[in-house]
Formats: sequence, structure tokens, C-alpha cells
Amino acid sequence: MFRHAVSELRLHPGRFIATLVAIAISVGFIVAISVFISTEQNGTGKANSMALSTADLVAVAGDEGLSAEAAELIGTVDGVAAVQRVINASAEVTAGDRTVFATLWVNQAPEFRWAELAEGAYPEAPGEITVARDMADKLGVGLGDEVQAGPGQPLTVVGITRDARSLFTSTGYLWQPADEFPAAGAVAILLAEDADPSAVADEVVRAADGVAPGLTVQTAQEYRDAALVATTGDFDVFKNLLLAFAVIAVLVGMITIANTFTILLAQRRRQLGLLRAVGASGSQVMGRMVLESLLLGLAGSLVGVGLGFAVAAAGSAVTGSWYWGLTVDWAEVGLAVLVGVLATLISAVVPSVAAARVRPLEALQAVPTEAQARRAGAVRAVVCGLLIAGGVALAVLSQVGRSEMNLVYAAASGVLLTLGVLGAAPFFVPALLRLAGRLAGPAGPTARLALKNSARNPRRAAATASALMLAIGLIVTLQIALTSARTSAMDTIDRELPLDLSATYESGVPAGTADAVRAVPGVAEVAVLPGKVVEVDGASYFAVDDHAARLDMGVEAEPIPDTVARFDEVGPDTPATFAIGDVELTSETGELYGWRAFGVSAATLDRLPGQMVDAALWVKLTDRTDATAINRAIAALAAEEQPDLSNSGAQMAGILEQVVGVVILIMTALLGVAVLIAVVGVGNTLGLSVLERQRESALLRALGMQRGQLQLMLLIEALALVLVGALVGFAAGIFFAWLGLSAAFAAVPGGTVDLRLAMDPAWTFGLVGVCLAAAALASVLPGRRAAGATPTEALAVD
Amino acid sequence: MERTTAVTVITHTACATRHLTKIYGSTAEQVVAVDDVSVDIARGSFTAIMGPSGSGKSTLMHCMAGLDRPTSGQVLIGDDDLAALPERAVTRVRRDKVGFIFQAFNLLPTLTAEQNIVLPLELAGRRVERSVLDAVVDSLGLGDRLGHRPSQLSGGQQQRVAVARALVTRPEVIFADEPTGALDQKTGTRLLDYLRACARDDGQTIIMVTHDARAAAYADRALMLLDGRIVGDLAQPTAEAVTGFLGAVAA
Ligand SMILES: Nc1ncnc2c1ncn2[C@@H]1O[C@H](COP(=O)(O)OP(=O)(O)OP(=O)(O)O)[C@@H](O)[C@H]1O
Ligand SMILES: [Mg+2]
Repeated sequence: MFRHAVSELRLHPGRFIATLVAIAISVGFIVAISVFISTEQNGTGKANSMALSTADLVAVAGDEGLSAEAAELIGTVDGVAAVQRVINASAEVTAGDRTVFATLWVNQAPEFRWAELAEGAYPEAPGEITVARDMADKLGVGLGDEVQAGPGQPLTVVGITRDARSLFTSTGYLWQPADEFPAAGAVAILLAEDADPSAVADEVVRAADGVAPGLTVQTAQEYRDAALVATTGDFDVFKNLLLAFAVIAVLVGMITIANTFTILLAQRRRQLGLLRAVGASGSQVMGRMVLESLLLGLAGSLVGVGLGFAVAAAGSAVTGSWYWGLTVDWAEVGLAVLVGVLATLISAVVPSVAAARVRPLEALQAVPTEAQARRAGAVRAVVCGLLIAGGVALAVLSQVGRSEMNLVYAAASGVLLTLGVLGAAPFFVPALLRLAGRLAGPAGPTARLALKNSARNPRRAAATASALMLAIGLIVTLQIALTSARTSAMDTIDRELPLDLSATYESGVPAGTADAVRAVPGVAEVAVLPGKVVEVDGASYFAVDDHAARLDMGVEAEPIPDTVARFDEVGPDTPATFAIGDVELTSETGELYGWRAFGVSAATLDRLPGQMVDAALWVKLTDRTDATAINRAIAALAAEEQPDLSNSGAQMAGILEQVVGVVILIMTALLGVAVLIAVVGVGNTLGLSVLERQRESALLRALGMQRGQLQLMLLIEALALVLVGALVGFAAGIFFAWLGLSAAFAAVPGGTVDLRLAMDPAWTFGLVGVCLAAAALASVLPGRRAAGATPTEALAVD
Repeated sequence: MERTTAVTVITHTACATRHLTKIYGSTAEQVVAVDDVSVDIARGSFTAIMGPSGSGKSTLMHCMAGLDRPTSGQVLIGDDDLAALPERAVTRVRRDKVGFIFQAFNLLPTLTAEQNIVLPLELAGRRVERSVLDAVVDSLGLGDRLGHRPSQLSGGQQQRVAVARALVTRPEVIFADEPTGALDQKTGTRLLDYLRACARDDGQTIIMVTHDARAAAYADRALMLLDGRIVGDLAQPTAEAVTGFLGAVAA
């Protein structure tokens, strides 16, 4: 039995390649996630406790932290060789227009340093900095160059270290006077040669009792383990999210595998019948199928494990965690293999059971009889009808009312509709293909034949297309939902925070500043607001008239009434009403006036005492998400005199834009795996049906069809299947994105955000384009095979 | 009397072979399936190729029809030498100048009877001449079956669709490999009658491979094959003459 199964796989490897690929990709995906996340987690944990990698003991301070004196005291304890207060700060380090986020370690004693020097030295005086190689590269600096870390004096680079790379932050070292850091969180301790760790630990706690209450001492190993555990929670969330994508890949893979086995069974009915005829029992035949699928599942899964390790290694090389070595959770890898084998088994056995139930006479027909088809069709139609009806009802429910339940209804509706639509695929996929055939009619016999072929086996076409529908539907849903959420949010930001920058100066806008800002590339509009310096409760304020500026910039707002002073925000120390001279004003919250400034109407400004000056500048950018333009504009505003800046929506928009962009990229990449599997399925269906139609291909060749025409026919078949799958997935994706977003927005209390459906055409159409290209590729091999049919085969009688 | 008139009409050659040889297999175990065959087939003739199993009938027909490449020699259809033409051109000759009738009908299951019939015209990008189509369909009695798919037709009807498909392009020559092999006697006889009428009345050249001496009797020429060589060429064969000849050869 085992030998039979192996020989079947060895004799016809081509038939199983798609299955193998589908399993390998699914399992590889899971393994890659597992290994990559474990490695990242390990790397992050190690990086977090890096400062203690050289220590033997760690004294962790209580609430008040550890002073320099306390550390010195610990240093005098018997058995302690050296101590180091662990002090670090997170900072943005800038050089020119480049910025890097970094953790800066302060005042490291030589025996506690963990990183080797590549060049130069460690810092020994204030104003010196030593940076990790990757920071030096990112900033484009070398020894002797200056960088800026936060406000204050620039720092000179005196050394470059070989540190572990990390994607998000970098590492640097400073020297600062100890009294700038009154309290450290921990002290690293080096033990003397033959000191007993636990005895020293007790001694340290006792010694520090008076100066550092609540001190606890751990071995460095314990501390590092704890740090590793602390990162687990964050990573688990991330891992579960990724595994959700893996589940989708596995599902799509299962559709592909089940489809393969259904086709193979149809083709092998005779062979199986022969087995039965020579005396194999039904369960023996079943057993053989099970064995075949187990072998296949195992082989595919093992290939997948290799694939997963390769991807994880590449990924961790990018993030820098490679430095700490790959970390593998073998239990999870084993589980992935199990999933692969089980998924194959289930997808293979379900069609075999269905095949075993078929009566002998029916087994001789390649296509189900009409009566059979009708019976199955009726049940399917009723079930799918109910699912879709339920889904539509829930969708309607999610659009009425405004509560958090809307989202629940929308999600449930999404699930029901997805099941219903996928289940109904055998009804509408052939219809769509036939419609395409009718449209392609005038395109000649090749196209017409191709579309007839692709629709000839409705179940098969439907299963192939639905794998793609699922994958593309999910991607498009996420893409459009995210893009729409971004657009809607940007709209809201544009409306509520229409300006990008507003600046006020101590005594009016310096001459020339407005023109300097206007000249900055990326600045669309600069408005100068007239105003007067006035006294309110003994403090000096700018009263400005922004009416003209608002008109200039197309910022809508109701004109300010003559008795109102509109502040950026009415704070607790802003008087509710006040008088300047004979003008009585009421405070109101407005926007964008900046610190110590308020807006008044033109008439009010006239009546206020004092001289008219240029009180404020308003700046609007061409592209408000352009961070470089913002930085340049800020630099131009500050060229003459440090202004008081209000930075409105721009930065927020910029961050939102970036985050959404990255999220879309990642989601597309992750779901792209499912699309890949689905396209493999298309090639597979095509390849297997070409095997079945060998004789037909030969006939067409005998009747005078050229090789190229035959290949073209296969290509059109592939494109038609993919196009139908992609279009339905696309339409469903748009609908689900709308459904989810409108339900989510309706659930927002106050409902201030208007939903605007948006799509990033490059992404979304690019995806469909990639699918079509992949389908074209997938048709090459089957096409060659079909074209290779010799015309004489058509005449052979078997 | 009929027969003599038919013979006088024949004036041109529709297809021919010159020293046609087809060798299968490697040098170690060669099978010479067709061995130096030179034959002329007259336009409008109905030729039967006969011989025992394995004598090379099918191979000879495949080479003559451009389905297979000869090892050496020439194959002429009209003015074209199929042995010298490149693959694409041979395919075009098959499409435009040759019709086929197979033992296993070989219709495309996705197409209706009518679509199957006009398929060769469509592949050639030629317009379907309604009058020709109607004449062929009427003569075969397929008028009410045009919208059916092959699975909805009987074997005899399927074979008539295949015959219509071969006729509708007005090919130089039609090749038929045991066309009655899968049909019952009555249906087979009717098909042979029809083919004979096509040759006689419309001048359609037909070459038919058959095992059946009674089928060969419908032809006006019988080529006898043995071990890849033509060993007999009977004009106006009768069943008895053919059986007698084969008996003598086999002995
Ligand atoms: N593809 C092939 N490879 C090798 N030998 C072949 C091939 N096709 C045919 N032959 C051999 O060539 C010889 C002639 O075969 P062919 O099929 O032409 O005979 P046939 O007269 O048509 O026989 P039948 O009446 O049984 O159909 C046989 O000996 C056969 O074994
Ligand atoms: Mg033969």
C-alpha cells in the first residue's frame, strides 16, 4: 500500500506540484512568523537588557531611584568589584536634515561597556558623543563631525562602536556630570573574583537600606530573563495578528488542494475503478488516498519549514535581530508541520469520500449527471440564499442607529456574505465566464473556445476562482478601508485644522521673514496678520485680525463678532471677559492664534489702543504631509528670531500618512501570500485539465489550429478565470470596506468624521495587474504541454 | 455503366506520395511502418487502404494527411510537398486542404453540432457560406440537431456531424480512418453510401482506411498494404475480390 502511494507520487510528480507548493507556502508562512517573531522578541529583550550584559548583579532601585552617593556606597560593599549607575535617555539625534531615534547611555565605566569600538574612543567630556556604526551611517557623520541631540549645544562625534543594529532605534554614548542625573533606575554590579553572589546581594540590600529604600538585587541573568518575558506580551499581540493572516493563507491553500484532489480523482476514476476490480476494498482505496495525502502534506510541510526559516533569517537580517542569532520555538514549528499535514489530509479526503459515494455508473462520467447536478444545486442555492439574505439583513442593521453594535453587525454580515458568495460561486462564475465568452465572441474562435473551456466544469472553475476571490477580496477590503480611513481622517484634519503653521513673535514679525518663508519650496501660501499689542490682566497679548488671511487661505470660519476675542484655547487662566480701554470682550475658543494671541474682528482691532504691527504669520503647505517642507518652513520662520509656533495638522497628517502607508504595505504583502497560492491554484487547474484534454488538443491541432493559437487559448482561459475571481473579489472588497467603515464611523460618538471612500489605484490595480501577469505565467507550462500534443493522438482509439 | 463514366471524369491528381518511407524507433530496433510507397490518388476518387493489422495503413494515412512527418520521400497535396514544408505551413495545409473523419468521431464536447461543423472554417478565419453549410447539413439529415451538444447525439449522428465538419471546407482530400468502426452495420452502410455519393456526384476525393472488405467494396479503388508496402492495387474492388486477395497474401 505504502509503495503504491509513493510510486503514484513519483510517477506523476507534476500533478502534485501545485499541492506541494500550496502546502509549502502556507506552512512556510506560519514558520516564518513563528521564527521571526521569536527572534525579534529575543533580540529586543537582549537589546533592552544590553546595559546589563556585562554585569554580575543588578540592583534595581525603589520609587525614588538611586543617587550617585548610594551607588558609591554599594561600591564599598565587600565582594563588589565595581558599580555603574545605569542611566539612559531617548533622544532624536540630528545631523543636517537627517534624524535618528536613539538610546543614549551616560557615563559608562570601561569595565561595563559592552560594545567594541570600531574607531575613535568613548566620550570623556561633556559635548562628546560616541555613536553606533548604523547611526553614523544613517546620519552620514564620521569622527569629528557635529550632531545635535535635543536642545542644547551640539555634540562632537569622538568614536564609533560596533553595536547591534535595530530597526527603530540606534545607540549612542555620552559623558555628563553625575549631578545632572540625581536618580538612576538601576545599578550594575561586578563581583570580585571569588565572591558569592547571593551573599553579596544580601549585603548590598543591607548597606543601601538607609540611602535607597525598596532596593532589590537580582543576578544579571535573572534580570535579563525577566526583561525577555516582559517583551513577550507585546510580541504575542503582533504574532496573533500575523497568524490571522497565516490562517487565511492556509484556507486559500486548502481550497487549492481540495480542488487539485477533486480533479485528480475525476481523472483517476478509471484507475481507482481498476483497483476495485482487481479486488481492492473500498477502504483500501480510501486508505491509499489518505496515505498519498499524508506523504504529500509531510513533504510540502518540510519544504515549508525550510522556506520559513529562510524568510525569517532574511527578515531578521533586515531588522538587525540577526545579531542575536535565530531563536526557534520548535514546538511551534512542529505545530505548523502538523497544520500542513492535517490541512492536506482534510482537503484531500473530503473529495475522496464524495467520490467513494458515487455509484459505479456515475463514476464513468467525468461530469455529474444533470439530475445529480440539479439536486446538489438546489441544496446549495437554498443554503447560499439564506446566508446572503442573513448577511444583507445584518448589513442593513449595521447602517441604522449609532451604537457599538453596528460594528458587530457589520462583521457578522461580512462573514455570512463571504460564505454565501463563495458558496454560490458555481452559479455565477460559469455565468460570468459565459458572458465573457459572449463578449469575446467577435474576437475569434480561439477566445471563444477558451472561454467555453474555462466554463465547462462549473465546480472546478468556481473553486479555482473562489480561492482568488477570497484572497483578493480580503486585500481590497483592507486596502480600501485603510485608504478611505486615511482620506476621511485627512479631510477632517483639513477642515478642522486648515493651517499648517502659525507663528507669532515677541514684538511683531521681523522684516523679511514672510518673504523668506514664501521662498521655501513646498510652501503654498503665507499670510501676514495685522494686529496690536495689548495688555490683558497685566500680561501682553497680540490682538489680531485674521479675516483677510482666512479669505486668502480659503479657511472657513464664521466671522468673529465685534464683542468676541477668539483664543487658541480658553484655558483656566484666560479671563472669561475682559476690557481693554473701552472695548469689552468675551473669550471664546477658536484656533491657531498661538500662545498669547487672540483674534478679533477688524472693527474691534481698529478701536483697540496701540500701534498696528505685523502680528502673526500663517503658513500653508502644498503637501501638508511633507515633513521636509515643514522643517524648512520652521527654519525660515526662526531665521531672524525664535517665534512662538503653533504646528497644526501637518505633523499629525504626516504621521498618519506614513503609518497607514506602512500598514497597507505590510497587509498587502501578508495577504499577497494567499494570492500567490490562489494563482498557483489557477495554474494547477489549467495544467490538470490540459492533461484531461490531451486528445482534444490533438484534435484541434489536426484540424489546423497552430501551436501558438493553442497556447493563446490556454492563456485566455487562465486570464478569464483570474479576471472573474479578481473582479468579484474586487467588488466584494469595495462593499465590505464601505460596510465596515460606515459602521465604524457611525459608532464614533459625535460622528464628526465624514466617510469618504477612497482607493489607492497604484496599489489596488497593481494587485489585479500582478494577478493577471501571474496567471499568464501560470498558463505557460500547460500551454506548452497542450501545444506539444501530436495531431496523430487524436486518431488513436483507446 | 455508372462506373465507366466515373473513371472518365478523373483527370487530375489530388494527392500523391513519392518513395514515402516512415521508420519508427531507434537504429537498434527499427520498425519500417511504411516502406518506399509511391502512389497517385486521382481527384474525385474514393480509395480504400486495406491490409492486415500492423501493415502500416494508419501510418501511411497520417503521413499523407500531414499529421505525421515521413522519414524520407515526398507527400504531395495539390502543389505542396508536405515533407519539405515547415510545421506551421503543414498545419495550414491541414486546415485548408484536408478533412478528417475519425473512428472515435472526435467532436469538441463544449461546442454544439453546428459550432463543431464550422470550427475548421473559423480556425481559418473563413466566412461560413450558408448555402454550402445548409446543403451539407441537409444531405446528412442533421437539420434538427444543430443546436445539440455531442453528448446529446447518438454515435451515428456524431459521425455525421464529423463528416459534415470534413466536407464543409471543401477540402482537396478527405481522410477517414475506419469511419464505420464504431457504428452498427446499418448506420455504417448509410455512411459509406453517402461517402461514395460525395466522390461520385461532387468530385470529392476520399481516402479511407478500413479492415472491412464490404466497406472497401464501396470504394472505386483498393490499395493493399503488407509490411508497409503496396502489394495490390484493385480497381472497382468487390468484397470477394478483396477478401480473396488478402487471403492469398496472408497465406
Ligand atoms: N508511434 C509509433 N512508434 C513505434 N512504432 C509504431 C508507432 N506507430 C506505429 N508503429 C508501428 O508501425 C507499424 C504500422 O503501424 P500502423 O498503426 O500503421 O498499422 P495499421 O495498419 O494501422 O494497423 P491496425 O490495422 O491495427 O490499425 C506497426 O508495426 C506498429 O507497431
Ligand atoms: Mg490503424
